[in-house]
Amino acid sequence: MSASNDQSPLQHLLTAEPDVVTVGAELFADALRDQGVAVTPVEWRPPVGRTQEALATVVGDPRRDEANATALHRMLSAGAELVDVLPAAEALDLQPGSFLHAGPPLTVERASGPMLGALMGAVLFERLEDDAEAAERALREGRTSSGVAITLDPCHHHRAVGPMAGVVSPSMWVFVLRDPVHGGTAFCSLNEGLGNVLRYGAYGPEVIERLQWMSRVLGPLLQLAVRRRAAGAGPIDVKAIVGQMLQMGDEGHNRNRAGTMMLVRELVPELMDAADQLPEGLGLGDVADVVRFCNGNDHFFLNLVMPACKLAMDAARDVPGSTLVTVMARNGTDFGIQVSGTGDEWFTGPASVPDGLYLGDYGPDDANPDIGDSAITETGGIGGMAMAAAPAIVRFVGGEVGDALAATRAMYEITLGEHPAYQVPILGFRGTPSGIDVTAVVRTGVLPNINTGIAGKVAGTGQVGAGLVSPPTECFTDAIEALAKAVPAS
Amino acid sequence: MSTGTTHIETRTGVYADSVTLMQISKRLAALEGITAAQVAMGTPLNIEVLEGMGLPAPVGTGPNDLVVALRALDDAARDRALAELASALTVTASSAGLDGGDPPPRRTASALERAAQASGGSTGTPLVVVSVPGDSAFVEAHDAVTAGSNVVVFSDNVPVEQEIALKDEAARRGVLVMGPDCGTAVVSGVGVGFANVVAPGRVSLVAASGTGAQHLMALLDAAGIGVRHCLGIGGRDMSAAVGGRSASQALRALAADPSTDLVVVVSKPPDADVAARLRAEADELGVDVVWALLGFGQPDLTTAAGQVVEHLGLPAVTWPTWGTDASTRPSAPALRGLFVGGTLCDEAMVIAAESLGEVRSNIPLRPEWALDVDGAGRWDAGDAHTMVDFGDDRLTEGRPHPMIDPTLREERLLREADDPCVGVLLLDVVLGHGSHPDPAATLAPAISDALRRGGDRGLAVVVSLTGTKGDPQGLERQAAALAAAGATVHLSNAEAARHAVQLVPDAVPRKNTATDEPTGGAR
Amino acid sequence: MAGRWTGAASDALLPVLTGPARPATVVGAGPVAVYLRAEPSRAGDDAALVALVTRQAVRVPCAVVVADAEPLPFTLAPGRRLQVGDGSITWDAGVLTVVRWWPAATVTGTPGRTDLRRDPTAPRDGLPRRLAALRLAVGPHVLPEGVPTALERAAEATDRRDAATAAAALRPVLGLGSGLTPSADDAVAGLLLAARSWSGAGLSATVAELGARLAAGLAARTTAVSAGLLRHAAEGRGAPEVVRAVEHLTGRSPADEAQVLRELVSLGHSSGRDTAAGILTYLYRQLTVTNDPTSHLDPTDPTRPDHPPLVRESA
Repeated sequence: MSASNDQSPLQHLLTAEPDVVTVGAELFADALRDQGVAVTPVEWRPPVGRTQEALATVVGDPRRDEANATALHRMLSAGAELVDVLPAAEALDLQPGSFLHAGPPLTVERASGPMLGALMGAVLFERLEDDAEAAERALREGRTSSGVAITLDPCHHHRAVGPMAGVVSPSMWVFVLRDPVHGGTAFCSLNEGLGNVLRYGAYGPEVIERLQWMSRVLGPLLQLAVRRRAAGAGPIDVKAIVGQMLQMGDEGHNRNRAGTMMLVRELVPELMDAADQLPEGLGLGDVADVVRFCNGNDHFFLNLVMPACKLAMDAARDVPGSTLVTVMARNGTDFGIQVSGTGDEWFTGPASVPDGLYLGDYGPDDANPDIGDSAITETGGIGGMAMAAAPAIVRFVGGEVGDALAATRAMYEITLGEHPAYQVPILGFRGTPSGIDVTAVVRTGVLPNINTGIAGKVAGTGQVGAGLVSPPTECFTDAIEALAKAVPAS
Repeated sequence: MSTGTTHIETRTGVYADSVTLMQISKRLAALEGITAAQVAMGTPLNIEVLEGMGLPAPVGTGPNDLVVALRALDDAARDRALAELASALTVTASSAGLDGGDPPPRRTASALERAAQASGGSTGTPLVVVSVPGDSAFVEAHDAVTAGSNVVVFSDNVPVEQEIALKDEAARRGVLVMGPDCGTAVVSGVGVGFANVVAPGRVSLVAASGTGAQHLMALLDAAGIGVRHCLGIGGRDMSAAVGGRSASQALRALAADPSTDLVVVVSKPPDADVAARLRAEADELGVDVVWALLGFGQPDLTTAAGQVVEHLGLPAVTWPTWGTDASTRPSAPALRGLFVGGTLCDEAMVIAAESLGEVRSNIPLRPEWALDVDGAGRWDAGDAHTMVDFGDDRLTEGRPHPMIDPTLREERLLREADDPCVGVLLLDVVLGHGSHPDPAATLAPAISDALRRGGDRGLAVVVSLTGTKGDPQGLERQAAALAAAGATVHLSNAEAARHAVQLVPDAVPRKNTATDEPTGGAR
Repeated sequence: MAGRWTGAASDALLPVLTGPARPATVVGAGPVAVYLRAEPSRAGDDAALVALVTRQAVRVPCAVVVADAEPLPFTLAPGRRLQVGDGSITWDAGVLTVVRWWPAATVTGTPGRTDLRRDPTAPRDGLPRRLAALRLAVGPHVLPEGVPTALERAAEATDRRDAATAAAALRPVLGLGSGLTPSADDAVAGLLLAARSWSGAGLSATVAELGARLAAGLAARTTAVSAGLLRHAAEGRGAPEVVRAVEHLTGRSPADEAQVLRELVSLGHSSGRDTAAGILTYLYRQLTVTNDPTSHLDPTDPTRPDHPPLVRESA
């Protein structure tokens, strides 16, 4: 019977037939079904690891519900506006010899092929050394032949994100995004396109030449367009474009085609208007090159989706008691996560090789373990979490459209909420599964789906394929233990 | 690299997306006799990849051209690959259904959301039944409580501080935690766990004991008294540590239930302060309560059932029995009780100890009466009177409850029959939802066998049968089968125990008597 | 090989289903409900109606809910012979065993309950608004000719505890309308339940007597299913949707009004709205017999309860 407003659930139970949820022995579910009772069985499994005690502590933490609600609300309400494009030296105060990289902290000794290749390329690009051999030696010794100290630091320690190797050096340009709701700022490098590119660990002359063009032409012209737009119609609303791209077949990680087109659509008029104010030495031909470059790279917008998600996740940081995952990132060796309730602490495990399709002759033996900060998109509720929005890419792993739907549906089990701005049309415009909950991952053993490109493991190879990957479970089991330790004694 | 044959062609006007083509390439490369395969649109990147494979695309290939590049061991393999390509390019759409719907819920919280969506919120009130291992029970039950759902926790081995935390949270949210270690609950006629089929009535139970509640409901059923609710509270609720948290909530809810006229509180020996507090609370609420709190000097369950009958103004009941009392008297001295119901065992021990003194047990009434029973159900009690609870935690580790799997007890039954010390065997059988579908099917032959083996010393078998007329196993059918095997069957456990005690030759106290207060809690 | 099923039965069926086995016949069948008519166990007894239903079907007070099946897992054609009793329903191809009893939904006609007709503190303030809400939920609805007048007369006679006159008014219209439960019968059931709920114990004897008087010769006037359900209504039992709505309207059990009324009017093809018509007839009368209960209402408000009811005779 309907509950009257002033009835407690217990009083209600005493006046109406129960609908039963069973968790555990199948016998009891059967006995209830035989009685004509509506039974919803839970497909229960023991939690991963020996985490029962920690789970009980965290689940029983009286702060948790409200902390998660707070963190989730901040995440979902965060905005993302493209406000500027700047050299990294200026935006991030990067000194010569300083390099940012994807994923959790890493030493050169433990760096994988593509990470090492990208760092070597960055050394060459910064003209700290003249050849690859010298660049590698400089990285290994921590000092260039001319005596410049080399330091490595994760992008995430600087409110930045970078796809694949994610290497950022002082002369590279970065997008600057701002969250108008919480006041956060996030940075991301400019996307180089596909093929032999630095982020996949390639460092050949064409890679360095492209990077030089990006710093000389692409960065300054984008800056001009972005600043004009911000001063005129207002900054480009990246969050709004992400919302739209999900309704146009993109998932914002491995497919960014519609997003890229929508961005170009915004930039071109600004560049046209600025034709008579071009920076010194640049002409209309350069403008055409820039438009062609952006338009010809289906992943150009990825580097705006990522910082948009980074803004949302940074907004959700540092809520005591919250079990919401704020970072998932890989450096090609380790997979690391951070959790709102444990602040800046990394929980890492070995990165695994993605399951996917390979280009040409390449196969799994050629693949490097998972790499890149781009899993910030899944952390933010899109990418692999929103696979159902982009059925085209589920076929990277030989799946069907139904698998894409199933992939997204499975993610609601491990997330705290649904994104009001990011929706999946084929699921009736249901919000994407957002806010990965460490307790739910540990309880169910269901790991977040991550869409990813696959880099060759030998430095300099570049991309060898694309596919799906999951984080190692120890990231989550370690996180739950740390969260349990952070629960104040009652 | 140069062995076999290579095949490179461009096809114009054919387009397929890159993912499809990657899949097709993979399929072709997997064919026997094919050493490399690449089917791709002629983008600059792909042309570069092809060159890297040593399969350069024809000059002039553009991004709108489909490039097919194969390296095969022979022409036959190449032709097979081309045929495969033709079929792959024509059938790209899946005939499979798009969507299998939501996957099954993996957590109680998501199952509750799902159930709420399914019912549209109009009918049914959610109830969660948790029977996962004890170290995971808190997490699932906590989901239920925070979602505003009442919860039955069947699991045992839940840490007491978790029980307290759960019950405090539940009280704040107006929901009831039934358990942990709650074997039986009946809400609005729905039997949860091990529960009997009862007719609706106006008597409700608050039960800290599963088999105790079942037994009481069976007696009430025999007296024609229906049951409205049986709210289990867990075996530990009325301990000093838990302090009757759920008992108090249940009592208050039943006091406010217009369809409950009388409440029966069933418990193994509770903490004295908790019991006193609860009695005061019942007085304050003005609710009529019959107290069935087991222990020395306390009324047994049958007496409590009689009080209910009397309270409702019904004529006194003669509890049914089946089978005839054996005319022979046992000549061997020892009484052995083999129980599946812990409370039934407790009650029988109290009754036996009053006449016989020491009763050794794995759930002893006194610490010094403890019997070491190993995990395989083995013990050696010499010629002492002994009662063993086969439902005790140690005997159910990694094994179904004896109410479901009778093997262990039936093995022991035959061993006792072969023991020349044993004169009387006392067994309980519990029917209802969740229990074995036909316990007499194996127990009756085992009893026959036992009586045959112990016939020379006049072995007697007495059965306490807990069940209602409506139970799926058929109360009468079970009783008839057990009686036909030679057992004397009682619906009242107390009467069964007294009968068994009477059969013990020279039934006088042998060691210390039990009329004084027991030391410490019974369990 | 006989099928074996289990089910949960209404406690209103306790005497029929736990008594000695007796013959029964299928009198109505559909994918989610099969109705049986159990023969009287001995001369003088009433025949009893038993409905075998799925969880999705309307849970009438004589229902046995078949476990875990949608639609029903067996086919029983009208005219099929069965046995009912000893805790089960048995036929040549199957046995359905009752393993649970649930309380049938019953309006508050129990002793000790206030008779709202005589209680100056009765919640009449809310009644006009609630009735208006139900009338809006029902929408335009036409009962068979003669039924509204018969309902009005019966309501007036019932309030005078004159079961004989009430029965005489209703008898001619019983069975009017089509379906397993004809429109007129549903409306009468609504009236009986509303009278019991509003009066508490005050009129339960009168309503029971009215039910008994209607029962005489009922079999000849209407379907066996409808006759069986009318007997339950006279005892205060109905489908949960109906009972909830009646209890809400009489202020006995406050609930989510929109939902409760929606559930009532969407019962069956027209059953819910027919039942609502009977409820409205009885409860509107309670407004007019009290002193000016609507004086606070805007006279131009079209939902004013003293506007003519939407329930009219067909032209």
